Amino acid sequence: MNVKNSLRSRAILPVVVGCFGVMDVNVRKQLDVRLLVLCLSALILGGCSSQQRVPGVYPSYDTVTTVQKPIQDKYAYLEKVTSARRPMATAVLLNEGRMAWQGGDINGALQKLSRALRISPQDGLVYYYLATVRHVEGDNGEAASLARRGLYFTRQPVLREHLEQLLDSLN
Amino acid sequence: MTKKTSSLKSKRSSQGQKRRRPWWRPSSRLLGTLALGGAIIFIVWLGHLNDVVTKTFNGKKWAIPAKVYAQPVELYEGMSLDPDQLHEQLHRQGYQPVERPDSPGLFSRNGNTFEIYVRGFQFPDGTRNAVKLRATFSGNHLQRLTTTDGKNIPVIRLDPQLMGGIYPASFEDRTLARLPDVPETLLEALVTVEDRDFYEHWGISPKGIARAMAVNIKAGAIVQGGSTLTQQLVKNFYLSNQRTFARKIEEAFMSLLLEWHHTKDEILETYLNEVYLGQQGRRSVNGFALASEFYFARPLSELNLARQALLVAMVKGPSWYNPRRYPERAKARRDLVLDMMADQGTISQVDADKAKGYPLGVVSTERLHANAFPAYIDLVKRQLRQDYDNADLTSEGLRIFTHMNPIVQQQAQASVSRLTKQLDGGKDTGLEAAMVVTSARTGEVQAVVGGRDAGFAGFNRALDANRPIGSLVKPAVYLTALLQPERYTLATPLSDESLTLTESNGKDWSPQNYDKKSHGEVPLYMALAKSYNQATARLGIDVGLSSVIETLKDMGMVRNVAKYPSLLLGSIDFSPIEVAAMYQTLASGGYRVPLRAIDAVLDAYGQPLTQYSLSVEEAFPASSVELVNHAMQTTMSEGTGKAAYQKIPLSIKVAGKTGTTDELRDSWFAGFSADTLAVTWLGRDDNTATRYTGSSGALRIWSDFMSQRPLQSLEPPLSSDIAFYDIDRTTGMLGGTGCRNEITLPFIKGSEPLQYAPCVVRSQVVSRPQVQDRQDRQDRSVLIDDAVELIKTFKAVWDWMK
Repeated sequence: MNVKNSLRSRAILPVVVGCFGVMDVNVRKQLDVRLLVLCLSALILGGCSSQQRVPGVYPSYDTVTTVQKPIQDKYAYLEKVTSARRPMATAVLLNEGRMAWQGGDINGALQKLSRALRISPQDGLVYYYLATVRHVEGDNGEAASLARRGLYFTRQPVLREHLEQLLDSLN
Repeated sequence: MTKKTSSLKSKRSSQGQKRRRPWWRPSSRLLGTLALGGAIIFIVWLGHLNDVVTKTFNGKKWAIPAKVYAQPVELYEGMSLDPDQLHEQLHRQGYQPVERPDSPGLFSRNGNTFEIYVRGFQFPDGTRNAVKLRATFSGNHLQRLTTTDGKNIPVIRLDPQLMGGIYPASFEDRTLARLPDVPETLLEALVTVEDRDFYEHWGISPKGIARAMAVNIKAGAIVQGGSTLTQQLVKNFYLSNQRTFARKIEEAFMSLLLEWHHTKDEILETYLNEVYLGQQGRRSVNGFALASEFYFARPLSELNLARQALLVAMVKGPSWYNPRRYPERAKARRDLVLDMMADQGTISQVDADKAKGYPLGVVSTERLHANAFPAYIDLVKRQLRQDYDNADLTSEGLRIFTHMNPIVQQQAQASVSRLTKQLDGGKDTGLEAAMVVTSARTGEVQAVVGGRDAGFAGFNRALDANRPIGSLVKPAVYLTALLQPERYTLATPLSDESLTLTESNGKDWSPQNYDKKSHGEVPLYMALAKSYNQATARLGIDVGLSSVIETLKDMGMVRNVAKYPSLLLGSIDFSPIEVAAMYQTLASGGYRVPLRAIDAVLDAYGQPLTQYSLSVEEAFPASSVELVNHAMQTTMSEGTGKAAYQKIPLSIKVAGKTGTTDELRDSWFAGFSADTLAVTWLGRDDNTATRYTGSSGALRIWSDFMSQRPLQSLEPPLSSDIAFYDIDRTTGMLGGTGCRNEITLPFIKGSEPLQYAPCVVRSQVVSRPQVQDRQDRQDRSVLIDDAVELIKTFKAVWDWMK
């Protein structure tokens, strides 16, 4: 089930369940106009409310975030689109790790990313960055394993695409 | 003529005198020869001394043992951490509680708010300067982290706790200090007490010698030394402790030579690093910097006047004035040092009196600050020796950063110690235990406990107790089966009936269940959860011993095992760390993640030498491992591990497996949450019975430890090719309306049962009732919550409309 479908079903199903719930209790055999009006208006309202996020009930792995403006740097963009539910500490360490490897400090990058992983061991982007650093180091076997591990943890389509591209380039 | 005669007479006379020269009067030529010879010998000897002095002093002066650090405690908003644990950890690291922390190494606590002046430190990824922060907790969560002037801090590390070192055979330990890093008052105290004329003399002090001689003659024995600091250094650095005249002469000349070649500052700095200041077992504590860590658990630069004076006081006799053993004696000597400083005018009498009012301030237990974690250090050494020579480890001053989490290690030690004592009836009858704790996702080894007395550096059971693992092997048997989804699923019925097999030695082997009963047909997941031996043996034979051994190897087994049927029930020996390595593959969802104790190694100058980063390797399809893990969760909810939930909250999903060996000799438990894997062994070194099964013994230690951790619950399977179905427990077929004994089980898509159980009402059968995949399951829980809220709203509105 893709994300769109998921949102749609989340909007409609509660209303339907709600209507039937009411019918079960009170008017299973006497469906009158008042109930119809109520259910229809609730459907409309339910559809609107489906766009809201409910904090605390989403999984800890990445979720989609709408990006208003395209960001030039692909890594900064990835950090942005995968940022939902990521602790600030992880975000900062990811950013610092990337800066370190882009500045040629591989050891520093691995240290920062290891710290990020300790805080967020299921963050697909940390694995993507670790895989990229290993790729830069020339350890393609390890890079591929880390990329696959990243794929295991992430459902975010943009990140998955990047991980798959990295895997393709390693093969 | 007369002159000639007289001259001859005189010559004769002189010749006659010469002939008559007494035997004891040497000739001037002989004297000259002897003097020349003596001078040559003296010059050669002096040259030799000069050679000794310059060569040793100019080269590498000491073998500096490697220092081993724990993982630094990381602080960030939202993290789970009990503020009391932070308080304890600060204490362990020598942070001093004060009202207003105004220098590094101090902290204050007001309820749930801490102000910590964090020390600067050189980490493997760079140096972090000292910083003053404020941390506010809400319950067991760090709610807000800022600098004391209100700027947000996303994440920060404390300086890491020093765990110990890797020492040379001499067990001489020291930390080097540079002169500029030593407090001025400490230098003044040292010079005042030990050698007032230090900056005036040339290595020896006639004034000092005369003073000492007077005292010694008066006392009729040697009670005071007249040695200068230079002489003391020469004695400690080059010579023996013998009090002979020859040695004193040698010492005096070497002192003069040392002063000739080197500046006063160089001599003083070497003295500060050389001086012996204590003993811990075989390990000698040398130098003021190490002594500061050893007695006060803080760097030299953070010592107040009273502590500086105590260290100087101990120079005279570290054993006699040992502040832990003889606090009153040490305090009297410290106060004397302070008075001497005041007399000499290096401090005011007011400051001296104020300092005399302070307690000694030594940390209560030395164990915490020097090799308190011998089992972990043992693991570190073994891993390091794959890459480094022992000589380098013991002499090059390497800095080794490990993954030991000091809070986790303390908790693991406490659980092992307390529960083992409890299980041993409050006595010590030889019941022992070991524990290994790792990060479930990354393989970082967070804690190693080698025995019930964790501070004892004896037999390291966590690494070296090779014992049969019993039923801990079973997940490997079931995983081997579940790797064939076309043949086995969690719902597949297995026969738990008696069987007899022939071992390679020709003997018959008839496994029995623990309860001595057979249970007929049981679903596969329940056979694992209940740890049925007969069902497991049958399954193992069916999938093949070779395949099970292959699975064990893919899980991380490194030793060779013989192919015999009883290995299916765990008659193979492993140590707790080996079990942890294999279960790590299960906890990591099928990725083999080697266990890592070491993070990084730096040289003595802070340059990185080696980095040990995360390494992963796909060993099994994630979906198959997720099925095994699901069954191991059932072990915890319905099977042999359910006692764990007496301590762990029911909301936290954990997976695990018990292990018990013949005659209850070994009690094992291995299990994990989403973030923590722990393996516990309980047994006796002489291999006699313990009275405990895996459930009644090791599990209790494991649960006690895990209940102290802020655990993350295991999540539903993440693999996209897993789907859930409602299954009738009785038949293992698809359930549905009409069935009263159902369970929802995960299946690799396409492997789910095709037939409905007889209990399903036929009119209700429309399509196979797939429950949901991962996202659907989570979406559904959201939907149910939404629906409940809506129903409530509808009811209210409906009531109103009526």
